[in-house]
Amino acid sequence: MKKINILCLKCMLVSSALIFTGCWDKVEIEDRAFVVAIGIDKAMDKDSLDELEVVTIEPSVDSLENKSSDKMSYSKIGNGKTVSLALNRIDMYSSKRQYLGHTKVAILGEKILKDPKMLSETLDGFQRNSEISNKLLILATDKNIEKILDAKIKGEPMAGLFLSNFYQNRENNSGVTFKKDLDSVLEDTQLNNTTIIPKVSLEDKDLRLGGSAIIKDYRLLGWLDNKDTRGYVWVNDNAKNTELITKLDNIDTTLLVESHKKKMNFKKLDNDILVANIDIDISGSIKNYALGSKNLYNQNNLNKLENLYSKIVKSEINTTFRKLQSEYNVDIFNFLKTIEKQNYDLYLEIKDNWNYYYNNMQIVPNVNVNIRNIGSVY
Amino acid sequence: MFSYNNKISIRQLQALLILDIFGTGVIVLPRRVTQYANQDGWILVLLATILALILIYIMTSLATMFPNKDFLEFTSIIISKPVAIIISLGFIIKLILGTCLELRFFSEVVKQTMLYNTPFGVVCLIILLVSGYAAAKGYETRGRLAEILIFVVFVPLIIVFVIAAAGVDFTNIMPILKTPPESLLKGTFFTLASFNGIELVMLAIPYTNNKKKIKKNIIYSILFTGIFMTAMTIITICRFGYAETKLQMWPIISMTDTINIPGSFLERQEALIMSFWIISVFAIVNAGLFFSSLLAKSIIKKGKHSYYIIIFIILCFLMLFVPSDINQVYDFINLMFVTFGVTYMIVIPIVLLIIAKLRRLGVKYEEN
Amino acid sequence: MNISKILDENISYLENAFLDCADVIKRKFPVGEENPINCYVIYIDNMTNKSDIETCIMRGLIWQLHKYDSKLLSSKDKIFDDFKNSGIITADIKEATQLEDATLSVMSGDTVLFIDGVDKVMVVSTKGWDNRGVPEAKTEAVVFGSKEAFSENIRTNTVLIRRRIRDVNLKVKQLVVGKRSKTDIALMYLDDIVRKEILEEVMEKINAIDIDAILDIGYIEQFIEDSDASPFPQLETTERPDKAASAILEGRIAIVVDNSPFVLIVPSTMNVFFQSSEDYYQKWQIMSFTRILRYIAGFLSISLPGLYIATAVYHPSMLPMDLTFKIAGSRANVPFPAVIEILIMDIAFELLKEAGVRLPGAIGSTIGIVGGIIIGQSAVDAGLVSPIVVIVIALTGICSFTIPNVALVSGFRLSKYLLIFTSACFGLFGFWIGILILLIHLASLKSFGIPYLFPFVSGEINNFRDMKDSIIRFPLCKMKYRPIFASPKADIRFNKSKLVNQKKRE
Repeated sequence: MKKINILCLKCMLVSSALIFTGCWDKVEIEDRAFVVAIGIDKAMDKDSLDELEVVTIEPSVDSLENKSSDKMSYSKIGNGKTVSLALNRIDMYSSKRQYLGHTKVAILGEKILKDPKMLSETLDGFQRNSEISNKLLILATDKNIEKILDAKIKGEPMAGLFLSNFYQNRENNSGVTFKKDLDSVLEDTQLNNTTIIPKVSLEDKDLRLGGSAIIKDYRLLGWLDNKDTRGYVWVNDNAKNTELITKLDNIDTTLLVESHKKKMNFKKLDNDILVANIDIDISGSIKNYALGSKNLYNQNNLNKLENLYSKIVKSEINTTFRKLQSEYNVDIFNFLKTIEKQNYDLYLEIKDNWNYYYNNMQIVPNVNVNIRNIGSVY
Repeated sequence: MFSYNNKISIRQLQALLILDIFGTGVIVLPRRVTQYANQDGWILVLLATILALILIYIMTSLATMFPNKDFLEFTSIIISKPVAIIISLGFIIKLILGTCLELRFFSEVVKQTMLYNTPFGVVCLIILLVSGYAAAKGYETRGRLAEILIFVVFVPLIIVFVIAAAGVDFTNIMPILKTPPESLLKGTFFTLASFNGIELVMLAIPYTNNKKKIKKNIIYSILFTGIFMTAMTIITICRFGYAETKLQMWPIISMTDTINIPGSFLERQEALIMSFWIISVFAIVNAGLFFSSLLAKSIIKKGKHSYYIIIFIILCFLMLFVPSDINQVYDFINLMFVTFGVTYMIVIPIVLLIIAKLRRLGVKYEEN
Repeated sequence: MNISKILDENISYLENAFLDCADVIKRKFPVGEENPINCYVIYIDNMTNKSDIETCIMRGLIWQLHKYDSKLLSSKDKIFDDFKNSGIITADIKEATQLEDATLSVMSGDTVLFIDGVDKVMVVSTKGWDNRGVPEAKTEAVVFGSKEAFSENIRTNTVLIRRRIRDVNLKVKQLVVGKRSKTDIALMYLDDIVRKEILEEVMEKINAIDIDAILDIGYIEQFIEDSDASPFPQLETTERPDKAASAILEGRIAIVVDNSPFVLIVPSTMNVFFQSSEDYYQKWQIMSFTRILRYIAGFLSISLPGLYIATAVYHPSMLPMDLTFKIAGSRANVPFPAVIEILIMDIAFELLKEAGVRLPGAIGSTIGIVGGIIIGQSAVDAGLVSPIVVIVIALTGICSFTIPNVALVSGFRLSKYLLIFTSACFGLFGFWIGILILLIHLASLKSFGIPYLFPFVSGEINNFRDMKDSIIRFPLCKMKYRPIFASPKADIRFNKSKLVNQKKRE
């Protein structure tokens, strides 16, 4: 008995020596190169045609050690046929190991958005990589990605951090932009091959978020400006903290949207025209009137204001819809999916001819604005 | 009072069963059910639960007819001894193969999400050694351990899924019941593979105290597991939509990556949530090693319990290297279910029960 | 060896036995003026109460029996009874017939009286030696509660417990263990609520100890505990009499050992180590909070260094980005890998703790502060360790101090190293494997038949009643039943119906 016990003990010691000498995955934290933001675009120089150019932003040692200096981050550029090759090339010449676990933002350049093969490969590269989180923010731009990522913003250390903090701290973003992470881009493309990505651009060395890019079948169809994006946000996203402005008796009155609810339902008319009733409920508070003018607080004035605001919203929605329907012919609002969920029989009827139905579709936005309070002044 | 008699209480049996069944297929469950039934996948889980309940009722009735005899003994009473030995040997093979495949699958997931460079043999060896340590300590230790581990497994999962449920779009599950019934039935049958582990009840009942309340409590525990898995499936389908759920390798893990636990400072809780899976796999491997060595000891009456465990650990470890990649693992798992799984979950208990009832064996008739 | 009737033979045996023992006092003296009878008294200097000897024995024999005439007696056997009844003035007299028993009594502090012509001796209890009295509790101090502690004298200790339980059923069963030390061991328990099988097991185990000497209660603990391969204590030691008394009232057995200021309480589960006597003297809300804090501190004291290593080295994506960058920045110039850093600081902390225990009084506490602050600060400034590691280790140390029982903390201190080791090799996977190994080990431990993790495991044996006193402490009026340690026949300890309901008074 004793011999077997000693034998077992020896086996265990040997095996534990084998197991524990490994530590195969150990990478000390100061040996990692944390990538905060990635920018991807097509390479423009002659010897790397058909290749991607990837820009990675890493925090500098000063920034890590919390000393303030001019160089809070530095960028590295690499070229490659796919995203993973390009990232690998950047990593090849660095003494630290690249770590994508904290990557917050990925910015896609215009040229790559226009190339369906490269865009689909890029998005796949992001999703397949297990280090990159599904909460990676995706933005589109038509300017030079290196300039955007290198932009020195007042009051912020790095552009990448600025962008991620922007979406984190501001719950809803004035209606001109919205949050799109890797997860929802993939979800959209699975549904009907279309997606919409918010736009970031550079103005006077300052980053501006606003507008969006429309993607269908992995190809960029066009850009929407701020107003049209707001039309999209009214229907599909959450427009809290947007400001609406109108004139009441020649006085500019602003309303701050505080809550925004939406509902859709669909009917098919006899002449094969789909009608979508979009019910939108907005409530908000008056932020700005004019001192010394008539009293705001009577039912008449409030009703007038509500109607005016409602008209503005309706017109924005209608403009956006017409643009999407006629110019681009793409269903960003995900109507088909909503029909499938709500009315399966109708869905079965129209799904094979969706293009036709979408082209002839009509929407009826019913916007109901409710002014909840007018502030502390009568 | 608490004597070293190797018997566990009913609550511990429940905890062991829940842990055992849960870990088996739950990570890939949403993907498999959406492959068969799109957004109606959750109905498949419910139906499979009902099927599992029926099967467990059969198995429990069979085992409680022979209160103090273990599996080999009562099968040899019902059918003759050589056939019983063959059935037990088959059971041992099923347990070892199942453990081995489960472990291989687990190590693939761990390599992808947590440890990229560690060779999978090391990961599996560690789990095998720890499970062997627990199995060698005896049945009572396993029972007590299960009572604690069940909280460690379920509390993080419940927190994650409740938070996820709050932000999810429940309309993704509509329209309901639009899939044709044939694919529902076919899907239910294959979802039953996720309940692999209920046949261990036949082995475990002889070692339980208080046999009268067993049936009710076991049914509760299977019901709990089934409902929990259904809820998880619903939330996952609603979160990703059925199209993307079909695409994800391991939907539950991707799920934990998408939520933001409010108030916690952790950014990516993936690695922390893996705790539930490490512990579930530990419970499965432990059960496999323990019961196979128990059966082996009852066939060959000699030798200490721990020696069989060591032999089976070595066997399992060597068989790990057989499948070459994860697709083969999936294929083997499916093959195992269709052959061994169906036999031991459905065919054998029903056949044994019918023979036992016909021959009027068992406690009820002996009392008369 | 039997005592002989001839006094000189006894005297020569004793002279032989106590050769070269300068502290043994012997006196041979005659009793009675006419026809004196020789008596011989023997005791150990300073172990006896000299005034007792002089007033009870010497005065009685020499002075009161001055007129005793042995010739007037009918038989020699009456001498012994006469001396006993009229010569010795004390209530505590025993007899002995063996020389070994007589010498044992001398060495225990009694005075032995030999009488010429009688083959029995009188053993008079005259114990009185220097001791500390009833000291103040040092290792288990509480703010609100009694500050008495056990002392080295076995009688003092049993009396401290007796004062708190004035019940006829409180038994003090005395055993003698140790070949050369012949130490007295008293088992104290309440006869009608203790579990008889545990009592028998304890007695069996103690009687089986065959060792030279029992110097302290630790020896007994290591011999009778269920598994001495485990670093976790399975028996509770306490120096507070109120804790021992409450344990006895729950149905447990207190083992009091002579020369040891600690008392062993059998059986004990892990839950018991997290309870302190103060918990029951104050309100349940604040004490529940304290209990929860203790459990959390217990978990943190094992796991914090392991978690730090696992997240910083293997999974930095788990921490918030700012924290990750701070850690990376502060570690930029540190020469050691994270594991070595943690181990260095941990060993340094343990060394400081040990040094603080050995040094006397004021110097000890100063070293703690000086060592901690200055050494820690200098190490950070020199760039040897990063400040985060100092915080992690200090927090771990503080958490280990919150647990009331020092023995359990030693178990945790060792488990900490297991977790550091597994986390360093496999990250979070290793961390969970380490916790599993620990849980398996704890789940397999038993303390005299009761599972170590009791109310959390197998709790349904008594309907989860014990959970009322584990993580949170229910109000006293809800704790109607005794815990699992008591025999099932006697498990009600509180009768609620007689309590005046405060609300109804309004």
